Amino acid sequence: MSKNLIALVVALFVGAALTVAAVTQPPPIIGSPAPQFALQDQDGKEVKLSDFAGKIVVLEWFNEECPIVQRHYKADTMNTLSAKYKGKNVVWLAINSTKGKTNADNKKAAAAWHMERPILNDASGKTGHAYQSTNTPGMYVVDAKGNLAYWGGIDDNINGDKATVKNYVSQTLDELLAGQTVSQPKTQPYGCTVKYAD
Amino acid sequence: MRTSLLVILTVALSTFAFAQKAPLKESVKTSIFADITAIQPGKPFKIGVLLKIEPHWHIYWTNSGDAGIPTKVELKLPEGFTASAIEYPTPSRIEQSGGIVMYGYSGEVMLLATITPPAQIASSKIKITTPTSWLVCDENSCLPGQALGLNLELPIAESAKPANSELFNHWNKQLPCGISSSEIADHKEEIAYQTKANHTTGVWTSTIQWKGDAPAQVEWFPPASEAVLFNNKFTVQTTGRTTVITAGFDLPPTPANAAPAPDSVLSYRTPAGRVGVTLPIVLSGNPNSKPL
Repeated sequence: MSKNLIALVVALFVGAALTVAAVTQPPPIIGSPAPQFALQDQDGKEVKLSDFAGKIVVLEWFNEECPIVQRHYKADTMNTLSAKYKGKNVVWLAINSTKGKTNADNKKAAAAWHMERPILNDASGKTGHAYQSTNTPGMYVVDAKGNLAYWGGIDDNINGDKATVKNYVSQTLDELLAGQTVSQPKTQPYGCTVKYAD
Repeated sequence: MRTSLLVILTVALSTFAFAQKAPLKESVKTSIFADITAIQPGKPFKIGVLLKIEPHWHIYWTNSGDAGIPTKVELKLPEGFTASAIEYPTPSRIEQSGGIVMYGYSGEVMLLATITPPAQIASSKIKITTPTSWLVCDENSCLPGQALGLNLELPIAESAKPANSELFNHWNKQLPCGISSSEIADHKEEIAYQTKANHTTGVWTSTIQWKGDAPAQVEWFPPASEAVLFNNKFTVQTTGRTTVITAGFDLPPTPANAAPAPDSVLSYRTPAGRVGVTLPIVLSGNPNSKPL
């Protein structure tokens, strides 16, 4: 009787612990392995983080409907930067975690914004949740060893009115390519919220 | 039977809301007020920018949280006039799916500033311009907005009467007050720092002792700061007469003495209404804070 009760209590406790674990995943940690993913690009081709072992990977949380994302595309921030580091062992991937988005939507956005790089479809939000991605444009840099090196905003121009702008992704990439320590691995996120399905 | 009908209706309505994506053109309406009828030389007065927000939309506090953009008011003053920093009322916590936490305002909010005119003013009237910008969002979309031409003209006079008293009384009460005039008896900060590869992180713990039983709805709002970046997944636990806030943070590499850690805000409910209190963050022992 009492054994059964203990078993029941243990079962309840484990169940509760599992439920909590499912809801609150541990956050990605600077200097620790970045969460793995396998997502389809706008052409339906599967792209995995592990495809780029040995390379620096920039992840850009994207939603073409967000006016702050639009601000950076009109200013050409993303395309200029991704072109600058192309061929320097840097891969740039956009990820769209917006609910209901299809590969066709991402294809349309890539064409409209002249993006010569994948927009990965994460409409389920699974990868966004693993990275605890909150905002668009939201930026992550994964170093050549697969560890998270940067998490935050694209730059320090939150209100879009600064004369001198510090681009944190550019700073991180320059430091990683020079073999230096990343000086600002975490910065204030800004922009629209990621419009998750759940 | 009736419940399932309600569910179907709710689903249908929310689908409709989602499909209707075009953001409203005027989701925020701005106006500007002064708390006096005329400016008296040398005598400080208050101005307020009132932002009226469409239902279900919100704008952001100085620390917008996991996303958003802080609402910004600039002050363009005539020569010789000085102003306080913009004063922001105690914000509300805004949560969205995906564990996203933000701080801001819905309904309406007035951002305030105290203006001090010079002892002598040559002209008979003056103009104060307050270019204001914001990002307004709902669950599905965001829309940046600005009111660059927002201005106020006031005559200069030897005497003046209070103006818009009800409005200013209301919004002055929404500003966080000093800790000494709150229900807090004592508070203590504890910090654990960890430096790895030149990057300092840590955990900030504040233990608050209340004068009586802890009030209802104790909430905490981490500051917008260049000296410390708080994680928005913190805990606020209240038992008996004690509240403990535990928050992880990152320390940017720039010396913190260049940008001191500003006050955070604590809020709670009393029978008289919601109260906001500025809760200081000292970051004692900050390894980045080396004397210049």
